Amino acid sequence: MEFKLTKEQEAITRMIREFAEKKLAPIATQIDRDAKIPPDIHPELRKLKLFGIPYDKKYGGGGESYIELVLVIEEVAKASAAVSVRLAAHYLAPISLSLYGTEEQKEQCLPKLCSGEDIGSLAFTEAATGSDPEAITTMAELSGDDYILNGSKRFITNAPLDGLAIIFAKTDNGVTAFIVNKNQPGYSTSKPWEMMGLRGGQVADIQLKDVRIPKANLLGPEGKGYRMLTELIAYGKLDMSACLLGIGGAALDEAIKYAKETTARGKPIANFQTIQWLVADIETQVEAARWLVYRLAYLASQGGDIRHQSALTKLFASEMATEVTSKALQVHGSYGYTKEFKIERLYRDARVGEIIEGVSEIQRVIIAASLLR
Amino acid sequence: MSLNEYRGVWVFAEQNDGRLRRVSLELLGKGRELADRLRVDLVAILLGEDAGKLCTELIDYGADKVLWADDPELRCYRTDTYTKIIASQIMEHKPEILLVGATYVGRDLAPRIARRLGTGLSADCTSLDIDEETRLLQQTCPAFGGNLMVTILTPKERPQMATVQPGVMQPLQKSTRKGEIISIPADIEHKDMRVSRLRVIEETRRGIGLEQAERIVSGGMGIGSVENFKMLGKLAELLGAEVGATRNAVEAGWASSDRMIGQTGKTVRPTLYIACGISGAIQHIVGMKDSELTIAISKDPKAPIFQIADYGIVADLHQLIPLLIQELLRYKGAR
Amino acid sequence: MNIIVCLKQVPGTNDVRLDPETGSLIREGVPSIINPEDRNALEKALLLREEHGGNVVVISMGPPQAEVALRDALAIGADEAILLCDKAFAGADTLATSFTLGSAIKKLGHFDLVLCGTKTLDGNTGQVGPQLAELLDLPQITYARRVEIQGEILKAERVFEEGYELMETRLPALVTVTREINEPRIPSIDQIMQSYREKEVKTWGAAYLGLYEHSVGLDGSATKMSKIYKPEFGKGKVEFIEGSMEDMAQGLLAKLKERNLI
Repeated sequence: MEFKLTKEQEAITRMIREFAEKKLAPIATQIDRDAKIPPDIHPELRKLKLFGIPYDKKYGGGGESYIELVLVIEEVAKASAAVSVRLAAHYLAPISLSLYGTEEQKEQCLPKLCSGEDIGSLAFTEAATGSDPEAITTMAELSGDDYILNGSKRFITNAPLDGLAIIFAKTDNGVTAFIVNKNQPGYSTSKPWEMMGLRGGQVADIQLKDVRIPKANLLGPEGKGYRMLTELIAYGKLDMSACLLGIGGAALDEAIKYAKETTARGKPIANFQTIQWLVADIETQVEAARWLVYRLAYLASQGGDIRHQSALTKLFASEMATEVTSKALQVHGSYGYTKEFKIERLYRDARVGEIIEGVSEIQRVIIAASLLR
Repeated sequence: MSLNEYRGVWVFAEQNDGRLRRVSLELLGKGRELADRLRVDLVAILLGEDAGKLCTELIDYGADKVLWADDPELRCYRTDTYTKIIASQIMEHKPEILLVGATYVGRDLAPRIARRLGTGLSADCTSLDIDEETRLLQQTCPAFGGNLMVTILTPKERPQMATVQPGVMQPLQKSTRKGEIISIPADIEHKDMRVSRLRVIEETRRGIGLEQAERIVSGGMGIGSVENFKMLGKLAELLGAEVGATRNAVEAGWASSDRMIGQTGKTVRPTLYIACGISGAIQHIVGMKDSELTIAISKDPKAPIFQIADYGIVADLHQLIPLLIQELLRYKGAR
Repeated sequence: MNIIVCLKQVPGTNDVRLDPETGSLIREGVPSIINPEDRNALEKALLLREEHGGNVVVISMGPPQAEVALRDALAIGADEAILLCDKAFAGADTLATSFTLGSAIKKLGHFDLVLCGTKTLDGNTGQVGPQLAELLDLPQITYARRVEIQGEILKAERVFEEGYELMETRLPALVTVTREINEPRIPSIDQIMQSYREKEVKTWGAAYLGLYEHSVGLDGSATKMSKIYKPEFGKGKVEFIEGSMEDMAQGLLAKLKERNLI
């Protein structure tokens, strides 16, 4: 058992932190205000090769593991959670392909995804479904050698950005996953939703009108889409947990900075025990989440089923993030409630953690189910 | 090395374009005190052409002697020529202390001299003291952006060399004094001309005299934007003040780097310092703490800047500054 | 073109603390980085290599942990890295540092250009560059915010109080650069991995360089630190001007009038 990063991993953290502090932190407020990531950011992320970290080099990936990926998402999230969510959501597409894709599909799709030329999305949720596979209304009908997709998807991150979407639709024998090019005729997206936090994440609805998908783009076994989804979403939870870990870490940094720089009655407020307790609690929670997330990344890198562990990790990381951002805001007093301080944004960004990739209640159901079976 | 052979306090007198840099006069002020306490002469060493007037000025500001090398080639600073002349004078006359202003020239020159002589050098001193018994110069300078102060000694080598931050020491009152002007050889050879200056581009944007400014209006992160910084410029103009900035404001691109006040920027001691939207990080405070009257304006009543301010205003700058400008205009109009 | 870049590993923050018992610097838990201006120097070296071809060697004196800074430099694009590491080098002031660095550069043999950052974040002395130039008998240009090379001629814009001056010299030379000169690149994930898995950091000690212990490190230093402390500031007598926005504006002007400042 070794609880430390390798030198390479430390170097990744150091360099991505430098990038995030130089390029993302200065515009994070702007991204949040405009709900838009400036177009020049994407090429920078590509240059650093952040879109295919854990995949095989022969597909243009980095040949590293999920640990490196998690470190990158964490550092990016510290500066701008919105940008980290673009990465986290993107990864669901290459993960789907690497787990279920045929060799041809991998060769065809992964290089562009790994280079970031294509931005990935995963589309399951619909207006009427939460996580209920029976309620899916998007249909895929066989017509000759093609499937014709009709329906709509809700709250899909990266949906308006060029690239590939993994879209789930009903077929004769259940739910099936398809690889869909987002430029394809019949694919369109709504205006992005105005969100409370993670603004800039480009979360939109997808409309599918007679979208023609060749059989070759059917991903994984037909009719087994829901089972695939539960496995894929486990990786989504891993990426999201890394993002929440970054938000928590940023809240800790902000709380420390404010406590040291701000004085009351001539003394830094850091001298007051109430503040000390808040800061101590924040770090304790962040560290606990950190090692859960890193371990989950390790397990993901080993292969195997991570559904149970990812449920409890995301559950813990999301509750950690809402709690520590709230505590760090409390350290700031009234100022924390103003838009002048970063903690206000972190507080909003954190909140989605308990909802995204399955609400906390569902995570508890998953955890309990595997314990009390 | 026999330390006892070394006596006297020297100051490098820096001239630029025929005028003395103010820091050289400041060093004479400090050097005078050190020389008196050590009971030795205070010597200024000046390199330049037609600088007789400057020699007299150096004496008027406290030098007992001026060593002057007069040569057309010395008009402009050159690392090689200046190093050679000063190092050879030091080897000949053996002063125990050499002070150099921490200017762009001083910081280029002093390390080169120290290396040639194999002696110690401290950088950017903000305070100098002497132990009269050991004759050791206590050289105090900031490190880690002013978060720490370090006192440095040069126990076994001579001269004890220090560069000193401009704006920190005080010049003496100018008065007619007696002193000796001694001509020293320039002795410049072709091999000393390895670097040449093709031309000078003066940029008014570079903070001419921010160190000497009597009034400064300075902005930090609370200012919020380039546009608001321009508004600060307007306020400064009405007050006859220069505009300063914190490191963060400079790094945000709101002000140019020559406007930076603090450990990594300039040290100022104006009569009036108005700090707008500045929280008061140590790195900034070390550069302005000696201002005579400090007025701090910030939205955050807990900002540390208020601890070193004489007057404080807790207000939204975006409302207060236009109002100040308006009131000032009205006041000026009424007069 | 063979370029040598000197770099130093420094604490990534200025918010350093002193051990209240020993009075010495607490280095644990403080992340280390390549000194920012040294990154600019490395970037300039890489740009010159892209333009003129050649080889970029990075060299650093420091404890074994400083290897990390050199690994980073290899990831960023340096061809070779040398760590000058020896217990005897510890406690060096700029005189001893420049001597050690200079000895290593002499051992490296042929080079066209030595690039350094102008100052470091921690010591902020800006002395090692010029002292190295003196030791290697090179022409120096400090505070360069722009550097160009044509053939044997190097031109640089040197910052000074009133603006900048255009300087010219002949190679070989030593130049110290400011942060204005460029924006250093950040290596990609695979470059970082390569630098750890495929590249080498050489370590040279005093014996390898043929240096006597009394001429390096603490023994070879001319300056000694006699005291290190946290500065205290504070007048603690602030008088707040309060009231409506108008009251505050007028109150401030009244104070300025009182002192004949307007």
